Amino acid sequence: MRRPRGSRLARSTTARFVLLYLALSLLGALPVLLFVYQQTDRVVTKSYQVTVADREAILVETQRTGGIPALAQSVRERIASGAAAHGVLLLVDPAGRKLAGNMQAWPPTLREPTDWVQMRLYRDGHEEPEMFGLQTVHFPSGHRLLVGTVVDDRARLRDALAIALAGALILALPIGLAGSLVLVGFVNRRVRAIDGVAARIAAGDLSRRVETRDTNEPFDRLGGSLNAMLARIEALVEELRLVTDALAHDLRSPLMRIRASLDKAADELAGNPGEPAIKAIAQEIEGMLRMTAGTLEISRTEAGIGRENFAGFDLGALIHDLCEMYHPLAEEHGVSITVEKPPALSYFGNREMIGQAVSNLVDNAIKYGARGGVIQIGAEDDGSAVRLWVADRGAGIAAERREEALRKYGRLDDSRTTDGSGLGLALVRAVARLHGGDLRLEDNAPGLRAVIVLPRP
Amino acid sequence: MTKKILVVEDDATTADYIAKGLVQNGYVVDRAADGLDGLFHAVNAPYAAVILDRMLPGMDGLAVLAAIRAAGSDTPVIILSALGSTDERVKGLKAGSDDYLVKPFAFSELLARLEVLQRRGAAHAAPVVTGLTCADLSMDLLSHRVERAGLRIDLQPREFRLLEFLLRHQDQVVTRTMMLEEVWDYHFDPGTNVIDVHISRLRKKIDEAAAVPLLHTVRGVGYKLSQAA
Repeated sequence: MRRPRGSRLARSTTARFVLLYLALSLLGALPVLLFVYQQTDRVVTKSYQVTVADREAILVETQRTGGIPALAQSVRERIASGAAAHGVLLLVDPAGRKLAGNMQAWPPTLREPTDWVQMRLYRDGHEEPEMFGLQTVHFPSGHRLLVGTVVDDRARLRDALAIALAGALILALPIGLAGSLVLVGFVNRRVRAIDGVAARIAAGDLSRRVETRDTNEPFDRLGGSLNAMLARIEALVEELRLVTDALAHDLRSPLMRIRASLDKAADELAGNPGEPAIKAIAQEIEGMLRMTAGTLEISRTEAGIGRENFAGFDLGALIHDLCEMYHPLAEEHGVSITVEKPPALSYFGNREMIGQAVSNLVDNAIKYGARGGVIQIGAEDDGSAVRLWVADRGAGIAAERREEALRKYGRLDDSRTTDGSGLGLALVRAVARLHGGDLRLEDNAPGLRAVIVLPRP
Repeated sequence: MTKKILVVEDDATTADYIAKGLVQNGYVVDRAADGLDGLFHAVNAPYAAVILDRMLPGMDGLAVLAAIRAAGSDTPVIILSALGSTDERVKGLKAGSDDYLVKPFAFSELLARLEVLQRRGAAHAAPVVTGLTCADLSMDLLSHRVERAGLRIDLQPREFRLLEFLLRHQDQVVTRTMMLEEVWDYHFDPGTNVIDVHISRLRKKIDEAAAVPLLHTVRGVGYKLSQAA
């Protein structure tokens, strides 16, 4: 239940990373492409300007040496020879009448002399207007000369350039995508390796370590810190094991001696008025011992001790056994037990501990839920996890008190008159967690339904 | 012949308690206070059984056990341990002990287990039996037929195994935990009086119609199947 969430997050992180990388590479390419475009455009425009300026210079020179008639003659010759096939020429007199040229009239908007202006014009023999780059000269005599060249070529070039640049952008897309995927793949591999170790650690294998090379690379540094942390955790768990072992030993040994003394006292007092008191003390000591043992067992289970005895066993048979074991006791309490389970249910875990856990739940159900008349024990397996449940139809536990019921010594009976250490459910939860699962208390409407979820490895 | 028991235990009070009880029950007791001394005794003299503490100075109880087994001795060993969790128990049994008893224990529990171990050693030599009897109660292990005074008694499979266990250890006290271990193969404490209810049902079936009861309650310890009260 934790894993899918993790991988979904990873997937969306991957997607975000790829998109970011792509956007960055496009953003990086765009200014370059714009610069290339502008430069190309500038150079092309410049070359047109130069062509027009040259042509104009020659004509102006003709006028200077031969006057207007020579200029008109030169214009006519140029048109006739086809030298102006890609351009326009127009010479008008001071009144604006055409003297020579291959267009009909001076463009009315063009009043001042200009070095370079672009304008759509009709020229003789052409149906459609074309884009020209123009230069005009006003002679002292009042005559005006217009020299221009078709710049549709330039427009076409610009279009081609734009298409090429768009193509480059489109090409950059898959290249960027592939690049970012390779990069993300590399990062993911390193992260997965670390994640795999973390998962094994979470599952209790504290001896796992992340593989690191002896470099100062961030991933190796991360692995190194992780390993240091793991070594610390392992040491702490080992310390806890030693402490609980010592505690068990140190607490139980004096209790053992108390019991020996009590036995002796009971022998000597047999039949005397003091005997019941001694018996009562012995019973209290029994209770203390059970609580000590229970607490230690829970602490050790929570620390992951007990995994070394994981083995394959038939969970179905275990449920069947426990049902059969508790059947006579349940009947005495006026409640029947039914079992609902698949025919074969193998599981890899600690049989004794799971047996103890289910037995605690059944014991609780008989103690607190017998009024409902029926206790159901069941198991189901959906392939990824086994769910074991014990359900009664008694008073149940109010939703807001369930968490309290799971706590160590958390007893819902406030007067604490019923027998019980308050450790039963805490141990069940510890056992479930030892197997990577959890204990859930649900409403059986009416009654309590305790579910042990045991994920399959 | 008196039976000699070796008690390896560093806590003097506990060792006294065990030794005194054993002597009262007719055993001869040798004592060792640390692991090395215990190992030395165990491999150099024949004992009917060794009672071995799990946590010992000098040499850990499980290491002593391993050394005893490595020396080729199959003397029954009962481990005493303050470590009561099921996995510790399994560890102890896997290491080659014959029984595992959690401290603090009632002496009667230890004695019951010790006697069963003695009997088990003798039973290894006995031929395979096909039937068990106690007075007019008989059990056919092949046909699973149980009769009392010639009248057939119907038993559930688990009741049959429980009665078989009692019959095999007749005249011996068996404790609740011994029954749980042998008949159900569980080592945890099922709480409440789960086993008692099974016994009372069994008792109803075998003793109710009979003049002489066979299944006796031994107060504070367990049960005993016996002709004599």
